[in-house]
Amino acid sequence: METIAIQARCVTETRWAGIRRFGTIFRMDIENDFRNPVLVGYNTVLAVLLILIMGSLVGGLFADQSDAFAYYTITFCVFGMLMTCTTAANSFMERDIRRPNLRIIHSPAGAFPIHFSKTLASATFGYICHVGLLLVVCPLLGMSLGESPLLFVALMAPVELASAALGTFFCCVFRCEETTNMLLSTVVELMSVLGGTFFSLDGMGDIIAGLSAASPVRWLDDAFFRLAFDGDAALVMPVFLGAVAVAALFVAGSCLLFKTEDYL
Amino acid sequence: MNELLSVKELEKSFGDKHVLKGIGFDVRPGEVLALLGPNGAGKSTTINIVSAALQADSGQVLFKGKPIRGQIKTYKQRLGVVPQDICLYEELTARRNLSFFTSLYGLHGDDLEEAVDRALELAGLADRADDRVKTFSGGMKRRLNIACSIAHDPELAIMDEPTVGIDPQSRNHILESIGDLRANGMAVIYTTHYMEEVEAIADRIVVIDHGSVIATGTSDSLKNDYATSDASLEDVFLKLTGRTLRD
Amino acid sequence: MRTFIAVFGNNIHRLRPYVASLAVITLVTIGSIWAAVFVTGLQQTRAHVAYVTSDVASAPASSEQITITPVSTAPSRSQLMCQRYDASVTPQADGSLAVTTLRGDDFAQLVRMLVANPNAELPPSGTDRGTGVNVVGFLMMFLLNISLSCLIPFAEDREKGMLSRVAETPASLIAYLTANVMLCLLLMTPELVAIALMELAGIDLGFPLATFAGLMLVIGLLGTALSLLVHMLIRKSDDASMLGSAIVMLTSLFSGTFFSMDGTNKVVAAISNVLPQHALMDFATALQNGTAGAQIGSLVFVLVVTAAMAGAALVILRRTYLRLS
Repeated sequence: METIAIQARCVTETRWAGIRRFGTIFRMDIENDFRNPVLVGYNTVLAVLLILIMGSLVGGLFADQSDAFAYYTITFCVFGMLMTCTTAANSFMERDIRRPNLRIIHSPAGAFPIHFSKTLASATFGYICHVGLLLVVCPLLGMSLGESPLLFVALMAPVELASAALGTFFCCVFRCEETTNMLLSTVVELMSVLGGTFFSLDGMGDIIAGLSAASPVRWLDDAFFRLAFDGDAALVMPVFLGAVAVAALFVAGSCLLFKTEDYL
Repeated sequence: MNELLSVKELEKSFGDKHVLKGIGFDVRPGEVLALLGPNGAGKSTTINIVSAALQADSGQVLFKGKPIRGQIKTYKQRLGVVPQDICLYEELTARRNLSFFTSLYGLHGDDLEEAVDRALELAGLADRADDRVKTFSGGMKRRLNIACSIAHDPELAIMDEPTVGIDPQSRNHILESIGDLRANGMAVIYTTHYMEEVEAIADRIVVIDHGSVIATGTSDSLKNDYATSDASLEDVFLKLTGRTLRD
Repeated sequence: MRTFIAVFGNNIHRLRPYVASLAVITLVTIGSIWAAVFVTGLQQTRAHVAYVTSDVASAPASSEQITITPVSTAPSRSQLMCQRYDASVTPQADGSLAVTTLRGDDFAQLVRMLVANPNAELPPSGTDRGTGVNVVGFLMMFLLNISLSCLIPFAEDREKGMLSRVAETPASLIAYLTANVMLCLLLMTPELVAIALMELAGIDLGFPLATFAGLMLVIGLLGTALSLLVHMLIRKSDDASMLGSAIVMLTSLFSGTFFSMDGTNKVVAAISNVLPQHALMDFATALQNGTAGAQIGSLVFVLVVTAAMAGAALVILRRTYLRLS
């Protein structure tokens, strides 16, 4: 009995040590992200500027200019969440990060924390930036996130995670941060244009409207718009579960594809 | 004799390039084993396999008699690897770097603080503990690079060319520190191209070339076996591996 | 010349790992040309309305001016916000139409008129942007981004210290920079080839090939100068690229490259007027209208801004690497 108890305690202590180790790596990864002023600015200041510029440019389409600002607040928030994939790619394989990460490979932490911690840290970093953005922009522009602002903010989390997992996964595929960033940022921008982030394509004929409707960005925009303006949470669960599934898929892919040799 | 580490018949290929062809050697507790070889001999590949960062195609690495593959976490807990490149967060302080990397080995709280302080003393950086690494000289970075790998007091340290590009004072400090670590029971696998370092600290030498071990012994035994007693270790090395340029 | 050839050739080899990514960016850029042509040719409907009725047959027919979609329930506010529908129309018992729209009373009036008479003659909407101007506008942001991507060899040299090596040789830094710039411009050739092929296929792109070549050259030089300056100011290439693409995105949107700036507020217009992209759009519009001479100042402005950014980059380069006393 005593032996079993000791063994159980050893397993628990080992697991606890593993969790603590992961927490240490995760904390370092988040700090590295926040230490980069360009990265922080890209995820906050740029988004605010885009919202203000586009809202001003397009304001004439709406009777109340605040509707234009509201439109772009949500679309650029979604755009920002999807661009978290490039933050993850930066965090994972950027030159100055890669070398210190070599030590993590040699430590008892193992390979999993290396890519998963980056995924989680980038998602958390993006989430904090984009929620912070909403906290600033909404009062400034007199905008409300609807009856369930907490649900709105909660729905952002799995989307950030899915996006970060995507960035990490493609880093494992290409083994190069520059290639991953070039490709993913182009794809995200294209999907965003099609999805109506910059301007709605619905008035441009059936073909274009159909292409627009097929963009995943459009689905995300719809979910957030319905939540904010209709109080309709019908799309929340599908988006939440879908994003979690996508995140899980890409994390699993990273587990399969990531080789410590790529860091050596 | 109880070996701390046994490397047996390691084979490794990268594509059609057969890099390791049956590498084998032992490391005893508290000894400094110098691993020598020309560029492209297979030293880095051997080190990466021994440090469990790379998997061999065949062969075994045993730690205290047991294969490392079956006890990776425990093995890594007792291992410290000093990479050839400076692997530090340049924007962080020396103390922060040490704290972070040492904590990955399970130390925390007071134990962590004590280990960090000891490592800073060993590296001669106690008075620069709170300065950012990017302000350090090359020698200081190398010393910190080593400190980050041994702060958790491993039983075995692998040091891959730890004195590249530094001044004689820093090199001397590092070699003295390795001597202290050995005196405290730590075994070290040491790779370098500086023969005077090998002469100064190595208990035994393993020479590898073209993926195989070509000679093993102490400095004196190698000189006796392959040259004359008044020959230098470099002469022995060149006799064993030839004078032709590699890679 | 030798330096130029050596650097140019070397950089082509260095861009090999990025071929796939550059190909994707090129395809997207070429796609933007198609999008510009398509958008210009589109008879954009003035309104897309949801007609709330339980009797589908009673809904008026759509026309070129208005798309009427019968629906059983009124669209939600989110659908109006997202412009899925511009308005919802509900016929009342007294025969009048209740119009719900976020676009103001004038638009509601227009909708009432068009629902009552879908084929009504309306004055032309929007601006007189032709195909050529739209193609230039759509291409602008993508070409500027290509300039940022194609300067990767220079960015790497700067970050990893190879630029110091070059500076310490007798090789000319000007030749070195020119080689980097020329490579960026060369990598815009696929887009020019695509335009040539489209014109050969008889698609009217608004301008002749030579005009596009000239305008793309100016855009390429502008983008490369910006890229050089950003990379000289910021050491880390990733940060420089991020900042550069943010600047490109913001200034391109502000300049009205995708849609006309006419009718926007004065502040926005004032900011837009100082941007080189806006000046280039003005010049392209003047070219379209046959009044290029009147807008030559705009082109000169773009070239001056380009020269200023390139000059600033060169000054920083010399100060950093040649330490002239």
